[in-house]
Parts: sequence; C-alpha cells; structure tokens
Amino acid sequence: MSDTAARPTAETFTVRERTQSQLVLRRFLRHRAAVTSLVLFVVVALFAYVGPLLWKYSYTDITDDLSQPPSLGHPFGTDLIGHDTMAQVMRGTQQSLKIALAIALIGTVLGALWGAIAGLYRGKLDFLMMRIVDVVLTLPTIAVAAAVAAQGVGGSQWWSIAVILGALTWPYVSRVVRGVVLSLREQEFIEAARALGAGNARIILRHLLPNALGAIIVVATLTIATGILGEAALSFLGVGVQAPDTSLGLLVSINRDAVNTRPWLFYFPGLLIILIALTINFVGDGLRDAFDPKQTRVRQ
Amino acid sequence: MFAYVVRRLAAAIPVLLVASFLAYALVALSGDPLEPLKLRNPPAPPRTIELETQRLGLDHNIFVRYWDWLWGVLHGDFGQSVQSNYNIGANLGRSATVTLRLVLVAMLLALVLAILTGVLSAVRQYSRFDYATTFAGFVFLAMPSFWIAIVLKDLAVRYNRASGTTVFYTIGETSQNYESLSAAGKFADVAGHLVLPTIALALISYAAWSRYQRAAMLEVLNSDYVRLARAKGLTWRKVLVKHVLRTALIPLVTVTALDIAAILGGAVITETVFNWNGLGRMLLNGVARADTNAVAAWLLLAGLVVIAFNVIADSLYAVLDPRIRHE
Repeated sequence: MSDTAARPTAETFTVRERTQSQLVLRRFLRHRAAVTSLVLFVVVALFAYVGPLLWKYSYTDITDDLSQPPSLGHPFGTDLIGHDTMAQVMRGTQQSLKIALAIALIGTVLGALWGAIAGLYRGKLDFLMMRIVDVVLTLPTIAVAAAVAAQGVGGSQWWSIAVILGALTWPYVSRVVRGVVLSLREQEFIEAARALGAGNARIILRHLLPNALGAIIVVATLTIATGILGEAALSFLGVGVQAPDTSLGLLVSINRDAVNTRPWLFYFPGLLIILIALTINFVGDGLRDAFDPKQTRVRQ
Repeated sequence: MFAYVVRRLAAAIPVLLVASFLAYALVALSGDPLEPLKLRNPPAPPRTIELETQRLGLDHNIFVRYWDWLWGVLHGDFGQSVQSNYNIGANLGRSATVTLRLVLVAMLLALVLAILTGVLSAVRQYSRFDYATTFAGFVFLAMPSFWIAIVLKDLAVRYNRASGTTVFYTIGETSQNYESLSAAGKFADVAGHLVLPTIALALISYAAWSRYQRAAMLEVLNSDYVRLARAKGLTWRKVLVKHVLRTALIPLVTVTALDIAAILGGAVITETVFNWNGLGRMLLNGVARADTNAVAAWLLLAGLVVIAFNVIADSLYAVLDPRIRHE
C-alpha cells in the first residue's frame, strides 16, 4: 500500500504512548492537595488499624490515671474513669472508617446498577425508577435512619448502621450514574456491542459501568466522606454505635460536656472526623480532575 | 407560568404519598411501642395491653393503619400518640414554627454568603481570596454540624463568662420570661436565641454552595456570549449582574432544593446541641418511643417542606431562564 511510506515512524512522535489509566494516574499525581491528602488518609488508616497493635493500652483498658491532660504517657490524655483517649480514638477511627467504607460500598453498588439500568432502558422503567429515587430523596436521611436505628434493628451492630445509611445513600449515586449512562448509550460502541448480539446485562456490566467508572469512583469517594459524617451524626444522637464499643461520633457525643473542662476528650476525636472527611474530599476532587478528559493543562 | 407550577405540584403528590407510606411502614415495622409495657416489672395486666393495642390501632394490618392515619391527617386529626395525653398535631405545629424559622434564616444566610464568595472568588480566580475561601469551604464541608455547634456554644459560654453578661444565648429557643416580654422584646429575644444555631447550621451549606456558585460563575464567565456582551461595550458591572450572575444562579437553585432534606436533618442535630424544643426534640422523643403516628407526621411535614422547596426551585428556573418559561 502506498500509505506505508507516509505512516509516521516512532521517532516522529514526541509524546509517549500512554494508556488511559496511566494518564489518569499522572493527572492525579500532579494534584498536590489530593496527593498530600491521600498520604494523610493512609496515615490515619494505619493509626486506626496498626496503631492498636503497637500501643500499650487497649480501648477497654482502665488505667489509674484519671482525667489526665495529654502527656507523653497518654498523648491524647485520659477520661474520667481512666480510659486512654488515644486507644479509644484509634478504636473509634477503626469503627467509623469501617462503617463509612461499608456505606460507600453498599450505596455505590446499588446506586450504580440502579442508575445504569434506568439510563439504559429509558422510557417507563426509567420514569418509575427515578420516581423511587425521588421518594427516598424526599425524606431527611438522618431522621429516617434515626427512626429505624433507634429500635435496635440488627442489634445495633456496626453493619446495621452501615446498611441503614447505605440504603439511604444510593439515590445520590444513581442520579450521577444515570446521567453518565444516558450519554454513553448513544455512542457507537454500544451500538456495535448490540450488533454483535450482546444482551442488556452484558452491555451494562461490560460496557456501560466500566466506561462510567471515572464518575463512579469520584462519587464513591465523596460517599465515604458523607458516610463518616452520617455515622457521626447518628452516634451523636445516641442511635448509632453503642457502648462498650465506640466510634468517633460517639466519642464526641459522650464528651460534649467536657469541651470546657477537659477539651482533649472532645477535640481529638472531632479533629479525626474532620481530618478524614477533609482528606477524602480532596482525594475526590483530585480524582474528578484526573478523570476529566477536558483537563488539558497536564498534557505537556 | 402558573400552569407550569401546577403541573410540577401535581407530579409531586404521588411521590409525597409513596414517601409517607414508606416512612409510616418503616417506623411501624421496626419497633413495638408496647414493648416497655410488656417488659414492665411487675408485668402490665393483659387487659391494659389489649386496650393500648386497640387505642393505637396495632391490631390492624399496616395498610389499614396507614389509610386510617392518612385519612385522619387530611381531616386535621393526627391520630393517637403512644403517650396518651400528647397531641401530635398541636406539637407538630408549634415545633415547626420554631424550627422552620431557624432553617429559613440559616438558608438565607448561607445563600447570601455563598453567592458573595462564589462571585468574588470566580472573578478573582487564583487570588489570595479565592484560595482562602476555597480552603475554608473544604474545612467547613468536612466538619460535622454538631461539632461546629458545640465549639460555637463553648466559645459563646466562655465569652459570656469573661464579659460577665449574657451576650450570646446558648440554651433554648426563647428565654424563660418570654411570655412576659413586650412585642419588641419578644422579637429581640427570638433573634438573640437564633444567632448561634443559625451560624452553626448555615456554615455547612455555605461551604458546599459557595463551591457550586464559584464553578458556575467560572463556566459562564468563559462563555462566548459574555465575551460578546463585553464586546458590545456593556460595562463590566452590568455584564456581571445581568448576564453572568443570572445564568450562574441556576445550578445553585438546583443544589439548594436538593439540600433541603439534609438541612432539616442538620437542624435536628443543631437543636439538640442548643437544647431547643423544636422539631428535633419532637422527632427524637417519637423515635425513642416507637411512636409511629408522631414520627410519620414529622416525616410527612419534612416531605412537604422538601417538595415545597422543589416547586419554588422549579418556579425560580422559569424566572431565571426564559427558555423554560416559554416552553
């Protein structure tokens, strides 16, 4: 063929060939706030999961030091009956992170499937499914979750809180995913898959969801942050995690009257909640920029 | 315009009905209000339990119970509470006036602040002001509402103690002597008690909304028709207010309406911190007693408020965007 000669050789390209995921990773790594936040988040996770293995006190230990302000022996101080606050905060962070991740997982899987099905089928099914989303969005999450959780459904286990909040979170995810799917379904590769005889299930699982992955990952990240705050709010109202176990929200709640006299009991768990939500939001922001193909400033 | 609003309202009614049934069924099926009576020591006589079951209608199935309740509500009767002397309708009305003034003032404050900072940080993109408000926005967004409320309350208590006078009110929605105050005194008392809860509730919404406003402003500022408006020789101020801001308000209207349910939830928490006797206490009391009729009435009111705000938002679209008006 005559165009063989015109085909550019490897040397004429000054830009190296990169896969989609390499590009996303490069863009993410250039987002300084997001990378710093990711490192901080990993440090918090290590603090919560590895910390208790190394730290001399367990969250159930009762020491002889009562109401001590922060010191070398107790970096976060102790409470009225002698619990080491750092051990409690470690355990609280563990439980809060676990619940938030479970909320994000449940909300994202349910919401992504719901949104993809509604967006692909369109028509009456879409209308019905999105009205169901409206119904859930009409009710204040915290109020419904409190009403269900207060009755001790599921024995007030950590997963029952995660299931309740996850079941109220998916509508937000489904709206985002449906929006993406509505534009994807009109593209040629979906038509091609159909022509090859792919069924709806295959199109959703193999073509639509992988292509909507960027949007799904971003919204999932932000769901972790709202999950942390949701768990904290429920525990604050007394219907979330129950003693003797603990969570960051519960720690802030039981120490709210100590804010003036023994501030370390109130501020350390609260700052951990803020740190987790803040870093996750920054990571989500970085991912959003990284997945956005309109982002051109990094292609140098 | 009128027909448009009516159409929106009609579409909202089935959603509200399904939501209220869902709420009713969830509360009714998740707990037994007679449990304290049954577990009492010495046990309550079977006759008492039977009478309570009949009074609360627990001997009917969930559909009959919901229908009876809904029929009653439509006729102004909110049904029997688990507490026999508790009037659900009267309490809902009183609590709603207390809480909705907090919600409305907080929303107004959050909107004004969000639009101001959103516009300024978009016009001066990458300035020091932009960076500072962006960072502050992220921090507020990460704060649990009860945490901000407790910190504000603590600061106010410290200030009051240091100054020796009550500058900030930190407890309740009105003072003890509210009834004996003059009309002007009542107004000042209510306003004084509103200050701290309003700030606590507004900060969270402000954080998210100012981000949306900034993003919307940037998108419009870079559009061709704004360049054209400038090229025509319009003043910068006129372009900003009439062409940019007007269009850039549309996304904010959407988010505000979407956030209403979350703000009501936030108000429950803020009220708890400041010991208000409003919708927050009503909900938590009802929830603790598995009081289906009371909690369902609460959630129905919340749903009504959410839908009312969505209809207002839909009408605002029509005001802001002429294409919708002429549809």
